Amino acid sequence: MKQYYFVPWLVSLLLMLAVGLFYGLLYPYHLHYYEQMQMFQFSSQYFWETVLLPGGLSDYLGRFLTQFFHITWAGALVMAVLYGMVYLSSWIALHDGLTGQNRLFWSFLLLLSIRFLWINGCDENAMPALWIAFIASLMMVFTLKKICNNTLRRLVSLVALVVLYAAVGPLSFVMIALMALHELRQNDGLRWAWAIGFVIAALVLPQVAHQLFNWPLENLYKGIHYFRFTQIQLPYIWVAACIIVVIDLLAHIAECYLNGKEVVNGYVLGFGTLALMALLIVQGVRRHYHPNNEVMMMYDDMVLNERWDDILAAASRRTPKHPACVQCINLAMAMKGRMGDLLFHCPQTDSGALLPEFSINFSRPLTAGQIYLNIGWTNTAQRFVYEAQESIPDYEKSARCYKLLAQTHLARGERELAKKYLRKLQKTLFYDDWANEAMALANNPDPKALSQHPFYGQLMRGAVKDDYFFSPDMMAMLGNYCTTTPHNHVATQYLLALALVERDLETFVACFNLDQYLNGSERIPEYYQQALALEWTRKHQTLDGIPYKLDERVLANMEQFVDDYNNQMPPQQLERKYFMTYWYYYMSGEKKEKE
Amino acid sequence: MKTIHYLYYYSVAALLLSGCGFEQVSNPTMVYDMPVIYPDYRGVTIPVNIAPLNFTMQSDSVLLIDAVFTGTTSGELHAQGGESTNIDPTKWRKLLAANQGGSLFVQVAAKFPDGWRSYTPFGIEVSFDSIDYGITYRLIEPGYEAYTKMGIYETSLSDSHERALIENTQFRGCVNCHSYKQGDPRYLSLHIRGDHGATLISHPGEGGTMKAFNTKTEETLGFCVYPYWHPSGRYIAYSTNNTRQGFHVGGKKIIEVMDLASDMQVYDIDRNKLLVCEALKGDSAFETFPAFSADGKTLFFSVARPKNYPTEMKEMYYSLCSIAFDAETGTYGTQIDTLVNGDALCKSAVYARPSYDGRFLCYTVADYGYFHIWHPESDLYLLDLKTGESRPMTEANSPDAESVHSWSSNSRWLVFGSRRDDGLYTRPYFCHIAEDGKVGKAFMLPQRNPRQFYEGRFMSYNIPEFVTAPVPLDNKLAERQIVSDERVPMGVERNR
Repeated sequence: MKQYYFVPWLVSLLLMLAVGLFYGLLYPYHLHYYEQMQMFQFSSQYFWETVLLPGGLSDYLGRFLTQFFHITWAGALVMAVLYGMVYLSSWIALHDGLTGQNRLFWSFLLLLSIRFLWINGCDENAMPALWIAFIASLMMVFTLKKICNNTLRRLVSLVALVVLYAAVGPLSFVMIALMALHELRQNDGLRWAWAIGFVIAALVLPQVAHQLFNWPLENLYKGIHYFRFTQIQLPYIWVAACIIVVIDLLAHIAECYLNGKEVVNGYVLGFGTLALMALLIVQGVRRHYHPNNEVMMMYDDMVLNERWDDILAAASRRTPKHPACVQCINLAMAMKGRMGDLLFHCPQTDSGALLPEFSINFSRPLTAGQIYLNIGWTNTAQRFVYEAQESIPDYEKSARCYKLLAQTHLARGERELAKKYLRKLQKTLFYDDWANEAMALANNPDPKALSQHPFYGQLMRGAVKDDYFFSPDMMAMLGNYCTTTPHNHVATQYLLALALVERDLETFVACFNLDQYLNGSERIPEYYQQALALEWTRKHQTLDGIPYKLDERVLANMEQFVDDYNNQMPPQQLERKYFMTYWYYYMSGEKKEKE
Repeated sequence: MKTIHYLYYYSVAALLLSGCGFEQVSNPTMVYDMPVIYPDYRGVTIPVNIAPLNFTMQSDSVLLIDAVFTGTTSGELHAQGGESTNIDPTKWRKLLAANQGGSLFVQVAAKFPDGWRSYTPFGIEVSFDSIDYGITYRLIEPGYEAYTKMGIYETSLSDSHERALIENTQFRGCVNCHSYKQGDPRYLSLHIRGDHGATLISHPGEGGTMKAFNTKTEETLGFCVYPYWHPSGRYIAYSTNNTRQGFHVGGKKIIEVMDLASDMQVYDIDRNKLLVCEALKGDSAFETFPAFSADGKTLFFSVARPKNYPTEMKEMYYSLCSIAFDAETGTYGTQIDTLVNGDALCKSAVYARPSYDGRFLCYTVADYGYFHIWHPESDLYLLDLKTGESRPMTEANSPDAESVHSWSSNSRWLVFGSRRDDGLYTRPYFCHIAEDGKVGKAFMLPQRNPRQFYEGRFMSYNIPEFVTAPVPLDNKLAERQIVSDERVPMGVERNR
């Protein structure tokens, strides 16, 4: 059988293409999410803070690469190259042992470890540092095997273990395990002693590190930077690592046993394995891929970039049910002044979908912070952002958080604090332009520079004037705010929406008078009309004499709904006919409460 | 422009490294004003054993700083640096030693793109009183319910070297209230919150290994919170607080920390019992921040009448009170004295910290509430325990918040947290307090490159406390104790 060295290269190219398409087409917002939850800085302080931990260098390189996830296809390319390199480096590390007639079979079998790495990569908390750690460890094996002198190689292997552990963390154990197997293949009386010595060294190393670093022993054995949650880790990383080691072991045993004989036709076995691996990868990725998370991240990203029309368009194509998505859609409606027309096109479960309360989480408070910022509650927005920043489980800083903190501090007139955050953003690749502009604003001694700025000026003018505490009674807080800032159209829409969602029609009618529709000069939005008609009917039993200028169609539909409801139309039929009306929302909730 | 700055810094650094000495201050323009420097060390009083007071110029366009420190008694020190002065620590120590009780005059010149400018010199007083070995503090980022990496750290004041004593990466939790007996680091009380909640107490006495306690009992309000050691080392006074947070939707303040209930109790280490005083227990008053007097015969604390939250939050005035304590019997006195009446002043006085020579008591005053570090109006006050007179420490105060202070073991220095730097991040400041109560201008904890250091530090120094020596905390043992579920329960003894 020919050597066919080009085949693994070809396979890795195909793998890169598949991974690139996966991230570019199916996981683009996962890439943005990664990027938003970190802040790579070009500074020596950042470098030393990051690398001075076991695995710190791979973490640093991972963060460096993650910043490019800001651009979807750049991120997809980075991930594609990482996967391709893991496969290639595993083949390069093992290829001297993958001899004989079944070389192709073993080479393709290595894709099994890629399957588990990809499954791991489907989780948004799997950090790029782990791919780098794999590549570094496997390339180290390749390098060490080049040393022919046994004693020298063994000594260098031990030094490499320490260096690699410091640089990439415990995935360096893959290197030492492969080197132990390599030593066992040598015709040397000391081979077992060295192999066992390697294993003992690997086991002792985290114990030594534990004396030097303030991290639990468990983390020093399983890695600090491979998963965003330092206490949790998916098992797939170690399954992938074990597969590489086991393949190396089995390939050697098999070749010793078969002694160069071909059991099955090498091409059939090889390409059959390749097809099987491809199937297993597709099956594994399909099973562990999180489309719902991608949708949530998409909505959040669109809020961040103020793509209000895109949000409404996406929601009209397929309405998501998750409250996190509904929060984004509600904000987009308010920003486009369409809440009164579109509110119940989305499933409004409770007031939390409008004005969320704080929960300890590192992404949801960020969306909530954007909502409060757009309403004009700078203090609350800032609090949520600080909490989100604090909740990032790997202690990393978020460029998105720093940007929002700089904005909210500027809006509060706290220039020194804003500058503190801006200085950090100036050291980033993708936020420095924005930070430079904001810094110029912060350094401008003219108070008008801020107060007349379209963004900060609006926030400053809309600042909450009364001093009261945040409370679960959102209606009271928002009502108070709208009274003092009646021209804040976003806040007014939220107040009316809140009253509708809470089925508090009396408050709705009271608040409605605040709004611009009472004089009848402007068309009253659909859901406001429905609510006004409902409230009038509830109080007067008839629509006669209603003082608002409502569409004939709404009045007719209202009468029809009342008839259908009173005639006890079957619930499913009623739902089908009136699902998107406020009347149905109101009555179905009231019914549930009675039950 | 920045590139030019960097090039300049590097060429200056290269020049210095090559041993060619300092750049000559040539043809300077005279500025008849003192330089605006960061940190502001102009006119401060410093101890003889403090680390070099390196500083930067406030202006970003400065290319090189030149400073000449001249002692009134003897000696001179020349320092130069690009972003910050680079004072030789050995020469600095010699200069201070030679001028103890005297002054230094600092002549500053700064090189701008258009040439050198020379400023009016300013003075620094070098006190006879030395300062303790270091300070320990919690470093924490701004957050209210969530928390990221934090820990208790120690900085040596003679060289500004910082080391971590314990960090929450070790056990995922929150480390907070830490206290030593009059700066003696062998006596430690450290509170841990979260899943591994515990109070670690270590002391050198009999059976004095570190133990993790469960301080919550059925007969008391909750966990022990704010600690203070008795001078004998046998007792620790704790408050126990049922705490809530409130968040301002509008206005300059962000957060209020308030108690729904709070009591005070003294832990007897020898008998492993919480000594509860009936007069200090109950719902009619909220007691907090206990502190023993220097002789251990008096227990100071703050107390307020309960109010309705949040409507009456701004009428929550804490008064400074005291009650006698008998260390022999572990009993409380029967009479509560009021030292500062918060209700009468319509102000809130908290965080009593008596000096260890028994002469003064330092506390903070703000408009209301007890968590004054979040109150920009919070100021330090000094009560003369001999005369009973109280006054604001104007020399140390700033328009922003000052709080969480601690005395040095010789009672001549006070360390406190101040937010004057940017309004949010608490930094440690030190001020000298002479025997007659004269307060020196406060100075910030020195750093080798203060601007780079403090600009890059996004954490607050929480509760800085003096220590007379490095803290002998075995943090691996502490980690094991925190992570294990074993907790020593505390008994309770009622004291009428």
